[in-house]
Amino acid sequence: MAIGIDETSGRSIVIVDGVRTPFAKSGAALKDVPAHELGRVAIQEVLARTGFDPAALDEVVLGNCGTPADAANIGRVSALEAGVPRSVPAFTVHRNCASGIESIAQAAYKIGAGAAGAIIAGGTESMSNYPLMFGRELADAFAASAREKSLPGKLAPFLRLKPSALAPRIAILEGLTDPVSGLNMGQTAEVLAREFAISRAAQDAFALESHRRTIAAWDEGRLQDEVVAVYPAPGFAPVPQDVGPRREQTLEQLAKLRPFFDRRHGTVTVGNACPITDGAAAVLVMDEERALAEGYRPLGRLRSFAFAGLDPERMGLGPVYAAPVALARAGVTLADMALIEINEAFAAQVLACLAAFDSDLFAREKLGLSRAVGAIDPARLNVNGGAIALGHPVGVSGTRIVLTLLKELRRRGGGLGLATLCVGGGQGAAVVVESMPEAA
Amino acid sequence: MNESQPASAGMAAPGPWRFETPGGGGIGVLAIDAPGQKVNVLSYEMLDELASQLERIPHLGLSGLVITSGKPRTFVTGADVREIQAIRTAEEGALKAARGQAIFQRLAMLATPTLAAIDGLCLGGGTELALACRYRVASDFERTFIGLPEVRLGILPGYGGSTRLPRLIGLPAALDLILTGKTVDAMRAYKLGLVDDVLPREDFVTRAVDWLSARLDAAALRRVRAERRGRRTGPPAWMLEGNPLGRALVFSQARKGVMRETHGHYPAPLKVLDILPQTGRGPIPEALALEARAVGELLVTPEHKNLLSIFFLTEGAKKDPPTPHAVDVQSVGVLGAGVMGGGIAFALSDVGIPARLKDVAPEAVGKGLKAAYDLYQRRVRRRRLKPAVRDRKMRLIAGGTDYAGFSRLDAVIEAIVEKLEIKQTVLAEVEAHLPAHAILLTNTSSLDVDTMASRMASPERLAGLHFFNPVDRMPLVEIIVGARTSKAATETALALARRLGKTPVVVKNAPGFLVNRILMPYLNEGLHLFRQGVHIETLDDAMVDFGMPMGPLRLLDEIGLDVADKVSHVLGAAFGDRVDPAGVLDAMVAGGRIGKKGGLGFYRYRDGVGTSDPAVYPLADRPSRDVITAGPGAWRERMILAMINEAARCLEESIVESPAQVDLAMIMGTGFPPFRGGLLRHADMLGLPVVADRLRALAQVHGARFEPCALIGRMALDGYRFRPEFD
Repeated sequence: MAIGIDETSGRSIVIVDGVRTPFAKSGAALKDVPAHELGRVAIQEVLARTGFDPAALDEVVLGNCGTPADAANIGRVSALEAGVPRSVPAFTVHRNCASGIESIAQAAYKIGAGAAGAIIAGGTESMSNYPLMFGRELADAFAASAREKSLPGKLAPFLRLKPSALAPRIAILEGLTDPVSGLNMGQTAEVLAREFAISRAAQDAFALESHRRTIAAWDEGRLQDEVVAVYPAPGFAPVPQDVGPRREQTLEQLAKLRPFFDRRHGTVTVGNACPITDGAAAVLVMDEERALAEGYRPLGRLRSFAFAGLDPERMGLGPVYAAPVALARAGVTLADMALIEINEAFAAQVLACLAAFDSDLFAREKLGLSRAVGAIDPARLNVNGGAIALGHPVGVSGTRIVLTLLKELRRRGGGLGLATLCVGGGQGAAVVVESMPEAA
Repeated sequence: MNESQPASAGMAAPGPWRFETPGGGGIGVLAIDAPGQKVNVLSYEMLDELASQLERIPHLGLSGLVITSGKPRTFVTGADVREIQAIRTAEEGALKAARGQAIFQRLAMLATPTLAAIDGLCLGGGTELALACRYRVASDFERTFIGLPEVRLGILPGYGGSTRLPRLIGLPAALDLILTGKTVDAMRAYKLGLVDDVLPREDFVTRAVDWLSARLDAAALRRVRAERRGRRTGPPAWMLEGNPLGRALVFSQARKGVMRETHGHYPAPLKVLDILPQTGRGPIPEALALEARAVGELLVTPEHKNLLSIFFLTEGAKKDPPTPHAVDVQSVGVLGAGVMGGGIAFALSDVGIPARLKDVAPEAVGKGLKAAYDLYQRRVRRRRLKPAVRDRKMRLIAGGTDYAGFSRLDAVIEAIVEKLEIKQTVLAEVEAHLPAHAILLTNTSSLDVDTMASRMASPERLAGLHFFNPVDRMPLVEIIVGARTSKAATETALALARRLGKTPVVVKNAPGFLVNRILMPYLNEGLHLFRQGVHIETLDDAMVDFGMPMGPLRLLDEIGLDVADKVSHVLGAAFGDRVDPAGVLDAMVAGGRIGKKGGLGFYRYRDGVGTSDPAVYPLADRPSRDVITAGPGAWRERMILAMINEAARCLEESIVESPAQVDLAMIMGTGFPPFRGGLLRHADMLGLPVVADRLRALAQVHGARFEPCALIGRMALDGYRFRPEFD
């Protein structure tokens, strides 16, 4: 079942370069910037930095989950606003938390199939701007009112409403709840914490480390290079860095937080979960031969992708299902990975994944493998921090972890890397990349 | 078309007025298409052709006539300015106007219903042609603009426009259009009643024919007239125009506005106010005669000649010198995100050029973006720009703190702090990030371009591109050519300036370049006068009365006293004793007065309004009774002659190509009163022997700084003039 990209077409596919906006907790520095504008900034900057002629693009594809009503195909809106010519088509993909990997995968598959040579892929999300929605009854009342001519007639449908019908539906809450299992994402993390016996203390320690690593990465100049500052109109006060990582975070503070999803017996808090966040990212994906011919020194090759399905109530284990498939497709093992990115939806969820990766029992019973996928050395995992500190703009994180992985691999002199995410609704996504050197 | 040729309807005739009957149904289409020209200009020849066409029309049995343009983006852009320039006497001017009027009057008197179908620019004589038709429709083309800009050339609409416009759209609206010379878009023209409908641009002529064919009878005419009146907003017509009192009110208000704007320096708008009470009503022939006489009188005023010469100079600056070696500029980097950098980014994005605005700190970049945004926002507030367009243009400006993306730029404009050392470093630094073909342009007001280039690997890539503050409003750009500056660099600067809609003047690399160098003796003389006891406002008023947009002390406040101080030291170092600095600036700056930006200069600023600050008078010497009693005329003379003398020195040193270029630069760069035709034209008007004598006399009293330069002495002696083209 190994269908590596190399094997379908003989084409090798590379990420030339990429960039992301700062990630900012929703309601903070980027709250007034609509998602299509964040996407615009990322696309425009990739074009500027690579110097790639936008007219020579074959496609633009963005991941996005909270579809804005005024920009349904947000990939197209962002592309046009970024100055990509009208003649270049664009689309939007939605695979929940893996949308930002799905977009890269779409680019890779199209190039692999010979249907394209250069695609900008990425993701954009403004969770600050998820709307409040009218309930069905209120919406019906508006429709009925619009049909009436007289003022009393127009008012009547509203007078018949129950007060409860006036309460808005909150898109972000509904979006973070799995309709099949009825659990929200935090509740699925609680399930894993219980089943894998992940203690509150372990989760908090993991969260603290996420902040510490992110802050250190900024301080030591390792993130600067992947980030473009955003200047939101009309004040244009710069947002040059991520808004979320906390320098002063202590274990004591984390320990004080009340469990959020299960108030009485839970262990998942807002401190050891990723915050809802605004941001965007974009990368230039190209056919390797063409990229080299045009004089680029790509960040790295895309070796394989895998998407997997699992129990929606345990969606956090998605990486354990997807990663072995991607590794097999690339013909490599977990031990070959110089660096690994597992998106930090929840500390409990990442820790559960680490346990499951290293479990022979889990491998046999759930994955149909004879033995464990392998142990993951925490020193090689999320080395520059992760979503607990940075936040998780759902449509973007996939692109971010691929980008940050490739940049860090190059910084360390090369090697293979794995980027993988859990996906709300019970899926996992994984991609194996291979760093390429900067100098010829 | 020659009258001896047989006229045959339905056949395209050669010549500027192409006649055809496309749709049948008896409606003819007369397409104006000046052979070999890009736009239609109503020369005498074109008018004569129209006259002969009009003679044929009644015999063709047409049910209607549509007049339109055979050019793709313009209707008719006005009369032929070269022919206007050739008019010598008021009688000749009145006669020429009357001839055009007679032809348009014949058009107006045609029994056949006529429709002007306007797609694109329609100005002056073109608008007057349209006004002579029974109906007018405009296309919804974004470049359809209609106006009567004659006053901007110091004349007034003389082919019936002053007579017909007030009758068509009412007195207040007609005054507004004629006095300002502004143009209106199709929708605005429709609301004013200037056009009777706005039609889609696609199949415009066919639609116009259909439109007219539905309005051929008298009932339709009555209906359209009622609709025109119905669209007008504001007080009902009877209140303002239907009675003598209302009319008097309209005119007195308009006169106040004109005086406020022009201080009475411009005869054309005053003439408009004189004649419109009569041309706007009563019998047409008398009105036309009055109009023709008025335009004749204006045609011989020096103000008209001066404004016309500036028009030609500006047009010339758009083309000459040509730029065959210019780099094709697709995107531009801007270094330094101050007010200037932000303004430059605004100017670039406004004409669709992507800009990368770089500064050291993100906060600085944010301020630059905000500066550009605020300039757009000002237009949005005045409803001149849609917010969506503002956002689209703002998206062309990317901010950054590093050189990311510079490898694909075609040009960089450096607008960082005015310190030689820093500029040298930054220019060498940015050069390393640019592709080999990219041009570097430095926006400096006083630093030496050659020295600035000295650390660059390829110094020939650097030229100066000196914008004037505020960038969005000052049309002048000085292009500074250094000793090593390449042809490509110079021409790229020129071409870019033109794309930005600026008026470029090429100058040599020498201290102060052109405009600041001429301006400094003027400002210095203002400072001397202040030092000698002349009051701040009286002094400034003396120059406002001359026609300058503001007096020297207020201008110093605007420039920034610290900046002016620095420039004056640069020039002082360069030119030595003859500068004779008044020495006031050092003390002002030392006392924390840096001008308007700091809230305190010669004026004290509150909410942007400045009132003169008595606290600065102690910085002056004991008042000189002689100087004070000499009065504004004498003060003005000192300040103006100081400039003329310096301008002549610039010509001696070949800083600039010609006296006309000096005049253009001073008008576009300092607001030197356009009606005076420019600084050196003004010197000619004073008479160069007088200029030389007065300078010598002033030198006797006030010192050697007034000693006339050799060029002035020689020209005065030999009877030469700076601008002989006026003779």
